[in-house]
Amino acid sequence: MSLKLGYWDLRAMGEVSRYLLRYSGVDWVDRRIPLSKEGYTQWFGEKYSIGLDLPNLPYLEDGEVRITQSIAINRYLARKFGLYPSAQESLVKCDMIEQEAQDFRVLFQNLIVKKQDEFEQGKPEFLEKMKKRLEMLDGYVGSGPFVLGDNLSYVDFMVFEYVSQIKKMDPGFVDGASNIARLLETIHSLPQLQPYFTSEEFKKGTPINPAFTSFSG
Amino acid sequence: AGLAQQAVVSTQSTGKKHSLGLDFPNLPYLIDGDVKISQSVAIMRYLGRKFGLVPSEADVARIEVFEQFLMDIRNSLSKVCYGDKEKFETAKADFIGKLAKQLEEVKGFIGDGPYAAGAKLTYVDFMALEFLSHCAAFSPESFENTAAADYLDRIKSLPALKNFYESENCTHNSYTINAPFSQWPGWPNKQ
Repeated sequence: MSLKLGYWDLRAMGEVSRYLLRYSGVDWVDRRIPLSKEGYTQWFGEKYSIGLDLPNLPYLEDGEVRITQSIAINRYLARKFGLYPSAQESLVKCDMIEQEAQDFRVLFQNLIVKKQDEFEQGKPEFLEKMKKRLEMLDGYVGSGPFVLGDNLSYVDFMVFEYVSQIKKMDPGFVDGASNIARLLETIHSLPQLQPYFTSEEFKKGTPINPAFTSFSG
Repeated sequence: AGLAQQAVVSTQSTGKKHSLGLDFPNLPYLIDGDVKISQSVAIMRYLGRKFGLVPSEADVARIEVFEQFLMDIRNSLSKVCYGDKEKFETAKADFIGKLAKQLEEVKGFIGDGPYAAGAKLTYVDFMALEFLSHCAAFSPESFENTAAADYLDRIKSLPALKNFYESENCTHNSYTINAPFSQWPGWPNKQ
């Protein structure tokens, strides 16, 4: 089996790639590095010797291909699995939504790495700011059904995962964004994802963020 | 169905920001005829495609890894420069500590080059030029006698860029690297 994704045992920035792999139906190895002393020793011991140009987590192995950087991995898997737009006009929209979705994750990450009191202080402002951005995304998606219109693409999975992460912290997060709420349902209902959503692994759950953060989810 | 008409709802008056027809009003933005985009990475990739500064198909994944690696470095520098004043010196030291290893990785990645994609100049070379130049202004010692500095010099010596740097109104003589209110604005001709 030559297709492997390596990442911490978290959702964080690896879960989108996992969804793309689950969606594809191909065989793949979901390598999870535990966030423990053993895990750190293991990863930092091998980080510079597994053929990665710019070593980091997540990493993807696909035969001879060895890449890092979650966005590069998501684009690679999207091209491989037919989830990358081909029309010229869609390329720029795709890039823009990819970056908007990424901002949702990065800003969420910046919040949850704060110490508990700073986190509590920063949470209301964060949610207010993100709800405004969610409103814009909601208007953009419109009747969809997908972010880029008729065709499912990897950015749907990015919006799905990163909005869901914030929703875990704030259950009412998508209340004012009915198109996004619908999109989340649509992605969640994809037939290709049902094996995962009915699995023991899904029921067991994976934390979003490390335990040492102010919201691990 | 085509893309739905976007409805940008703005509950506050923000002047020009919400009247340019951008789906996601933000800076930077690019308007090119009917194309209106925000998000710096989307803009760079659009201009890359427009001007032929794109890798060959075989090289796409590798170049996109480098694109994101450079974004990581730039975002880390932003966190240091826009963070709390009290944390600045520690954050700066941490950043500089990591930079040495990252510049080694740039050296390994570029190899003989001359550019990231070998003989072909691509949009990521301009990202490297700008973002690594910010780092070089922030920590000049980190770049002394490095292959990364040589790589940047090669890009800077492209005729069109050389003209820009030597022009009377070169914005690098007046623009700061970061906002003037940040912990390290990076004033031109100063550290």
